[in-house]
Amino acid sequence: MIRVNGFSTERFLNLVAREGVFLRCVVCKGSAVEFCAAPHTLDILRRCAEKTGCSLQVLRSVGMPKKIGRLRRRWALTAGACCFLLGWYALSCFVWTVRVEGNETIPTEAILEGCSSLGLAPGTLRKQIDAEAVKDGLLLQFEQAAWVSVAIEGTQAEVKVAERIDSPPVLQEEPQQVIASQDGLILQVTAQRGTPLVKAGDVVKAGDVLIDAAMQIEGETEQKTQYTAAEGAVYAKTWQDFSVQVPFAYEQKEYGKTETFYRLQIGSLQLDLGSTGKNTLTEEYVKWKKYLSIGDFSLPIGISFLQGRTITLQNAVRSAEEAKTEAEALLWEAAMDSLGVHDSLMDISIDYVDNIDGISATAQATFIRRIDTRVKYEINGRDAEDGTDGTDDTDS
Amino acid sequence: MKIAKKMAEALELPREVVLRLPLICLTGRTELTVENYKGMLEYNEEEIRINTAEGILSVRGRGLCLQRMTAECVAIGGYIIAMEFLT
Repeated sequence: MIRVNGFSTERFLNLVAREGVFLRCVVCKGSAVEFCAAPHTLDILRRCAEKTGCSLQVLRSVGMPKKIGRLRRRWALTAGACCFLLGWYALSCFVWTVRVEGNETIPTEAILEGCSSLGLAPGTLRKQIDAEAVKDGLLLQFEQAAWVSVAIEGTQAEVKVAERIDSPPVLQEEPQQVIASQDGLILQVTAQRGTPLVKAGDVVKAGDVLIDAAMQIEGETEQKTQYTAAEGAVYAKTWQDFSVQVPFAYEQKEYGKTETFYRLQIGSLQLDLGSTGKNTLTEEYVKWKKYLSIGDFSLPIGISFLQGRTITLQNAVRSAEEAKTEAEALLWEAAMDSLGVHDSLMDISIDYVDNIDGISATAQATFIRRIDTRVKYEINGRDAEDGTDGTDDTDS
Repeated sequence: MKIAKKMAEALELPREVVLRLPLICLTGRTELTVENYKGMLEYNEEEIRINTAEGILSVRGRGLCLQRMTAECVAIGGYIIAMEFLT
């Protein structure tokens, strides 16, 4: 911002304009004018002011050239900015994140491991990565992968995977029958194909045929037997025994004082901060973890806040009642674990036997289970499909 | 000058280029741009007089200022009340 004061400021403005100086924001302040002009035109302005008998005064300097001039004196700040830019450039030469997309059956960890073995891992120099080789290598490593693409954008590598879609299983059309997988009392029979041989209320043993493959078809003149792949759902009431032994003497976990500390992580290097007895901790878990990042790109520098505690085993003795309660809980757990998708637990009866060193408990659990199992159908020991007994009887 | 004027009319050439006539552009009442001016004669917050090839252009208003000024063009800002050629 420049102020010019004199008898004929208009003459000064005309002269300056003729000299090719670009004036901005020319404001009249009484007999003076104030305006903005580029710093390199200051000599021309002084000369014109001298010619027209005006006095020229520079009020203040603003703009980018002035700011750059200030930065020249602050060399440490300039050096810091240069270092930052250099660091930024250096860091952007590496791949810091590898992202996997499109995989459903192949685990992401397996793909990342495969990428790592092929030279694509966080911290690898971008120029050293051969995307085509990684792509081919992944296709060879994973048979389920039908198509793979590897793209490196900035500091992020993106691996896109398209998986093969398995053809649907061919419907089993060879003759089959449904047999009981275990003993039980039949509650419900639903035959979708085949001839049901049992009904609700029947008692069956494991291996008994529930739905037969042979179907009698009434013709006009004669009755014909056709064999099919029998299919259906058979529910039965079943019983199963469980037993468990609970000793009076046992080892009890005792938890020590909880300690908290920070962990600084630089690449694979870990540095624990702020815990005195962290080396004796037997159990620790991360409360939170934070990695430094520039935009979406994570840097391998992070800090975690962890909690840990010591665990010691102490000898303890439980009473007979406590042992029974423990035994009951274990038996229920075992019974529940044995349940299938279609099964349900109806009842459980427990008997306890007191021993010297503990309690022995046996339980009989009553279930409703689906007991149908499909097996290949054979007629008098011969295969229903090709008429053979399944053994190789050709002359050698 | 007369020949140049006739040529410009006959050839349909822009007269502000051939005859150096002032090209005045008024945007609302807040900005007036004058191209091909010859010089600034008077400048204060209420009146600005500019010499052009067609005579002296007087611009009256309130809070007038020169937004930009080069050898070819001058842009006047402020609230413009009147504009007239004095001669």
